Amino acid sequence: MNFGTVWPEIILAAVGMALILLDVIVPKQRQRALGLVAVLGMVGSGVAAAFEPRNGALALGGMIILDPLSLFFRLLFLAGALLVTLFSVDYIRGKGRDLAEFLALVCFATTGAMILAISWNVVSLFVGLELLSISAYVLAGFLRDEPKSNEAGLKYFLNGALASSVLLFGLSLVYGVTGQTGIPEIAKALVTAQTQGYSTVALMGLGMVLVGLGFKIAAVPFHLWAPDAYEGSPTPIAGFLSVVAEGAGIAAIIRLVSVAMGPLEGSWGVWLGALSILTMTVGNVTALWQKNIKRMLAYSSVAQVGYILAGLAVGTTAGIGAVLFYLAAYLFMTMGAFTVIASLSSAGQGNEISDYAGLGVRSPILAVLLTIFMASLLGIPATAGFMGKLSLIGAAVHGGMAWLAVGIAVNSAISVAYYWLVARTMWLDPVPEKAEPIRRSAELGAALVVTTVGTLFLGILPQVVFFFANWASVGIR
Amino acid sequence: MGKYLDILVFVIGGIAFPVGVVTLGGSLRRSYPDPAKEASYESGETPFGDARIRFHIGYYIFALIYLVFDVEAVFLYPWAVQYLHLSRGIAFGEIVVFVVMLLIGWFYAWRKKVLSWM
Repeated sequence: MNFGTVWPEIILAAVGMALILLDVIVPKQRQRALGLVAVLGMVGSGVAAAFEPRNGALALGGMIILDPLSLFFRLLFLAGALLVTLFSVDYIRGKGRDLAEFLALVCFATTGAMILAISWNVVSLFVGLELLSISAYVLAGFLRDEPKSNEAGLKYFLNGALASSVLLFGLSLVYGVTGQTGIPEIAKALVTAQTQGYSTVALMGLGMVLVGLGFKIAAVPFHLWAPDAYEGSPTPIAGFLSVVAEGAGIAAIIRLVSVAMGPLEGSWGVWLGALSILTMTVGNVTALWQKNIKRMLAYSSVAQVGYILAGLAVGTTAGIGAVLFYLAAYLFMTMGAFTVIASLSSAGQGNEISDYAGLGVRSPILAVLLTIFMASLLGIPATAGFMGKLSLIGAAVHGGMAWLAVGIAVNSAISVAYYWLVARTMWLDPVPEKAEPIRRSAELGAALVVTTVGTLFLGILPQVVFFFANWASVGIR
Repeated sequence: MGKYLDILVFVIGGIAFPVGVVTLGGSLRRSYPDPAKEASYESGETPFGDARIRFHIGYYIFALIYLVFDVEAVFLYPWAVQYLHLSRGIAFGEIVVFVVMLLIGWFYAWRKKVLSWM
């Protein structure tokens, strides 16, 4: 067997194990440096990923595929993990918890997400998903002195375990119909199965796969765990869940639904579109009523998943390309918003939106940055979110599903209200009496610079990432 | 459907046998209940208290650490059976990687003082 094709995953897993060993060797007061070890490991893994073949070669007995989509998701997840690492160093140490253990779990979870994204077989895909999920359950409940974090971990675990079992049952139905576990073989066998009249069972399997993955990406009506999990989790992990864990769910939908079950007869594209409209509407309308900024961002990310699902429902190359571009944009803007929240809560500020009153005076830089991220999540021109929505709407119109484009536009209008509320509170509400200026650490500063530059770069010069996303979406079948 | 009829027969038989035997025994024997007869039997110990108590958290941690060795043993066994049929250098290298991974977990637990009874 040739393991050279999975060097990025091997490196990341090895770094995770090295972190666990270093945890018991390095004295507690010097463990801040372990953040650097994790960062170097992730950069090394990214470099290795860049040198992997990307011609669609199969490896490890056909279990994984090395195509442009694999490269895209590997780099996306590594970038997400890198940002999480940068802004969790102070946060976790400030909470008095074990940094090495935390970073090791982030490494393992990211390894799982990468294995999932490069899988060309439902078995390795499921193993990757479970490695990601089990690490993420622990991460959500990592602050074990805080009841809210325990609650987040437990709710995420119970819902996630249910989702995994539903997904697995769906996959077993598909296996029962096709007798195959390889993704291209399933696609081929489904065509024959349909002529023999087995498409009802296959559709049930597809339905259960969609429900299981719907839980993982918090699509409505399977989203109810998300606000509690986001609110209680450590803030970096809330970012990790919404970027890497949901991105992995999207990758699984592309591989399982768009590729493996693509040939299935019936109007599942329309069903996915209905799920998309429902998700974005419920997410946006519920976000209007939130008082806690983490809960608001949780519902906002539910709505963003709805936008992404629209691209998957269209299912054309342009649709998938728009989804990938949106995921890259979403990485920077969501991670940026969570980084600002994390730096404020490290400085002792609460997470209620009313706590943000007068931030424009107390810390103008953070307020400007949070405004940029909110504008991008809303989709104001010159930000990444605008280009992302534009390409999704374009793909929907060209793909003959213009009603999805209307849904995205209407929902963007709804979402103005709650993003604007944050901006108004920061800039226009009176400054509280005993307001102190906020200090940031070097790592948080780096994370903020990367996310801001990314958000603006994708908004002003989107061509590079756009080209990459389209290239990755061409060869998925 | 014919292939699955065997399974149905097994399921029905599996349910019918214990239910039938217990019902038959209950209808044949005479019934003189007393507290000692109705108490649960565990190696001749006199039972006391409720079964639903809190166990020490230490038991769970030990169970988890036990799992490390359990998984190791379960995986080593098929490896050992197939060893002669595999290309030996690679097979040996793979199992070494596997055991080292488990040892890291065990080492971590040991240094975090999980193995000392509190």
